[in-house]
Amino acid sequence: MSEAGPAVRSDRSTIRVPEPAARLLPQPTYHTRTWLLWLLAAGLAALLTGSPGNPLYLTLIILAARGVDAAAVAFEQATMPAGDADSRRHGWSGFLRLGLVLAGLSALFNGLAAHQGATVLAQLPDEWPIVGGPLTLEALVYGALAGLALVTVLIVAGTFNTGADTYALLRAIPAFLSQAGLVTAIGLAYVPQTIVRVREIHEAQQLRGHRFRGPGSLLPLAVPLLAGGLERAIQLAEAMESRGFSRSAPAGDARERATAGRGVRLLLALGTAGVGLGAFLMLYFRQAPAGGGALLGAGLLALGGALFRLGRLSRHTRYRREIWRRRDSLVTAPLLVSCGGTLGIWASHAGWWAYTPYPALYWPPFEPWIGLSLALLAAPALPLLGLVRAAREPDPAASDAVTAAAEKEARC
Amino acid sequence: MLIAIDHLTYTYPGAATPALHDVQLHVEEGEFLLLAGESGAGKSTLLRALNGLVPHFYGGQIGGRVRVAGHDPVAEGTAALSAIVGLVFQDPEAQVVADTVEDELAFAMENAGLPPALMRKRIAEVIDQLSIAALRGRRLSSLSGGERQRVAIGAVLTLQPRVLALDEPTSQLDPQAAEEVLDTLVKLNKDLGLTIVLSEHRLERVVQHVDRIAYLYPPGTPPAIRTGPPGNLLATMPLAPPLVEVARALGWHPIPLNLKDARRFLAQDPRFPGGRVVSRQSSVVSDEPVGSRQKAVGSGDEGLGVGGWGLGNDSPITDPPGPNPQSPIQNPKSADEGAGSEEQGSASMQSKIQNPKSKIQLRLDGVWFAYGGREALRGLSLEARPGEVLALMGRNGAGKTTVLKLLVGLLKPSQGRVLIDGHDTRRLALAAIVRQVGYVPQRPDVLLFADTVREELAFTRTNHGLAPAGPAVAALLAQLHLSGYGDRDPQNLSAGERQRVALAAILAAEPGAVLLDEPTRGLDYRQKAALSAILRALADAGRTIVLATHDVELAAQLADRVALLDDGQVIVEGPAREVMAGSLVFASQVNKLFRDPRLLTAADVRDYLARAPA
Repeated sequence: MSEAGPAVRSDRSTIRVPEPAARLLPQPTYHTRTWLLWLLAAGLAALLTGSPGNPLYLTLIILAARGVDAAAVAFEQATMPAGDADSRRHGWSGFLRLGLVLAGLSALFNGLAAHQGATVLAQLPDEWPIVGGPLTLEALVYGALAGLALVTVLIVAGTFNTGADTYALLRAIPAFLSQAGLVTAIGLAYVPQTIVRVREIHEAQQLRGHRFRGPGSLLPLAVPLLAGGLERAIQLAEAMESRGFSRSAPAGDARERATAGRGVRLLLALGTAGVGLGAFLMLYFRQAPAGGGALLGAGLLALGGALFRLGRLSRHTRYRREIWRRRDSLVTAPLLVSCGGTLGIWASHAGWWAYTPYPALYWPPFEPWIGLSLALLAAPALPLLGLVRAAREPDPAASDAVTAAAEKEARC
Repeated sequence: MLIAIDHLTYTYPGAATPALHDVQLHVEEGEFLLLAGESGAGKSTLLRALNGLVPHFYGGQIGGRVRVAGHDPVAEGTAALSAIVGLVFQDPEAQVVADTVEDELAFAMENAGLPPALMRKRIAEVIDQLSIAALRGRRLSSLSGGERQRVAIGAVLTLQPRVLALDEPTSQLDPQAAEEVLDTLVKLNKDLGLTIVLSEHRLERVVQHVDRIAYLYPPGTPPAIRTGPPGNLLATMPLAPPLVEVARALGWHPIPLNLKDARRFLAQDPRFPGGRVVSRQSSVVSDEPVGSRQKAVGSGDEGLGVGGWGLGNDSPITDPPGPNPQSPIQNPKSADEGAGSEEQGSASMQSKIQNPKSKIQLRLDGVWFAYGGREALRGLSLEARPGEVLALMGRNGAGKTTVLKLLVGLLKPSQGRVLIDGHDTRRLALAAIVRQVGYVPQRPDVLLFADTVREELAFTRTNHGLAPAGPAVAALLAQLHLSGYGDRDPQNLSAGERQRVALAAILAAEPGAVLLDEPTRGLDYRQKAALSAILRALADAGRTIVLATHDVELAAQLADRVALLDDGQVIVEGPAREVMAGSLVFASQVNKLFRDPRLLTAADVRDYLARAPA
């Protein structure tokens, strides 16, 4: 642009632009695929441990997640430009607090409502509906463990949420869903702004003498938020439109487009028919569902193909390309082992996972193989902590060269 | 001819009158055109017609012909024009699409389907052109408004448009950030020859850089638009920056566009031998002790004469819209005469709303405050007195807003005391404080929620246990030039009107002190003058007014005292004339020209001329 001037377009020039070397900043913790693998491994473990769940395993998963989260936070603080790091770092403690509240409530309800168990703590009058009867330690523990299982799932989700780059994740979804993903991403980008705005409005109305006096008094808070939100939504839509967002005209010339369009329509029609007929056949011939199932599968494939073709027809391209780093490869192996181990043990020794405090409370069993498999979930923490430590050492040459560059850039 | 607009007439759907009527505008390649005009004259609409948002996004009826680089936005649509016209909007927060700067820059190119390799090249170029390399990897949520606006400019430049159109890009920014953005535009125009069409109300910053000005008149009053070189057009333009007003008052021609040219005129002006205000005449000027602009409340005999100081109320140019320029709100006493009061209600009503129940003195005594671990105020002491306007000035992060929040009890000091009429805020309930001290937030939008202006005021009054309606409310509306607005929906008013409604919503509680955070953001000269006259009248009626502002001209016009804050401390505090005349950064444009504490505003200069012997 500088050499050509704005009037001269250089799009079609033959200047060769080399593929880039890895960009140094901003450096994500891991590739989105690595994070997805971690989510799969940890989520699988959390779900298979189940509800009520062996508290030892659940605690192990929570500890692993905590370690990964802490390492990711430390890494981002070390690499992010100054002032940037704190912007989305409130997730974990919030998830934990929510989880604890849920576990407490769960223990309370189950303890009051379930009257099984050997260890009777108190006897509530029988004439009380629902809560009447013996109050047992086992019922309380069962409720708490069910809560703990829920907490574990929440914490796994929370760690993934703070670690993985949501925007990258949404942009990484397949092309035929990319518009939907983009719209979601834009919506998410407005969340921090909205939080700030809510606070501003609340403060301003409070200073105007506004007090909370029932649902009606939400109006002075809600209306400015919505009105402001609407106004900004219109301006955002204008800005997107001005930058060619709706320019989804397919690539290629008109005839090519027409042919491609016919192909997509055919696939869509066949797919829909296949899914409908297949489902019907499966339900009708319950004894031999194989044929119907195959038809259903083929229909789904055709639909997927149609959507894929549609995605290819869009002329939008993608700028962001994630980089698969050495540390991604390093942690992939243990995560795969963890995944496989968890599934393998579940398939061969399903009984190893089971734990229930009924009829009488007993110390939960601990299988070392399961423990090992769950401990591997903490693997992503190690390379990050190594990098953070290297960055803190005075010798910049040893520090992955990244953080030094980050700090330099932040100072500029 | 890069842009050719002929006989453009456009009506928004459902509107009775056209927003643009028979507009002619031709722009050459490489030109830097300033689009000026009052709020509501159709500047935004005209800019949106350049890339087809009008009529494609809004609907409505369009007539006439628009061509940009040979393309017809009406026929081709906005998305197709995205590679021809880059349009940047007002609100730095509302035009962000992505999470990080780089993704934001790439967005338009992704939509255009450019290959990734070319995108990388373009992004690298744009980053260098706009000097935003340091922002490259940052998250947009962590950027300041000025940085965001520069990224927004970059985000449309990546498509290498032929025209860069900007709709008041600096109206939500503080002066330093605004200057960065405008400097960027000047550089793009000078270095790359990029054609720029800019609508802007900070005229003093841009008139010296633009090639032509197009002044848009509100529809219904032909001519719809006048264009010409800045020197010619500024001589008669209804809205003008202070320096231009001075040049007009002194009869300098052609109008000087910057201080350098103005000093040349000044050096040759016989009324200012040696470029100085004559000391012989100083008896005229310095009758008032320097800096004492405020007068004792109620001493109305000298009122009108002194009221001329700094208010600009004798000028048809800066006057608030209203039939009578000598509006009685300038002076509580003159209301009793009842002369010339428009729809202001009876004189007794007037004085009722104008005289607060109690006079409130605000004081900070060695106050320390920290957000988390970050110290925002460090042993700050300050006093605001009844009947006085105190302006807090200083860079972003200097602690201005923190001081306001402490004064209204929203924050409590970690050390030191904040006193409201002698009472420590730590021992007062927030509800008790807000009855005495009103706080007008930066954006009026966060306050306004009701269906009508009247309900808005009634809400505040019931919150404070006052009767929801009554003569006081009518008087207040009249005082803020909102008499006809009682049943209007605040959401449909202009920025200046909404600012006044927000102020009214706070004043409805009849507080003795009013705090305002950046009250002039987004207002044009006329709206600013109207607001400043209102605030002056409030102070004259005995209220304590504290402003946190970046707006040097507002402080020059309005403040009795100015406190410069830096790094959580007061570095200078004193009478406005002395503080502002002694400062490099915080001197008004007029003061930079005359370098005399007696002349801060165009009104001061006119007053000086009027009193000077012929």
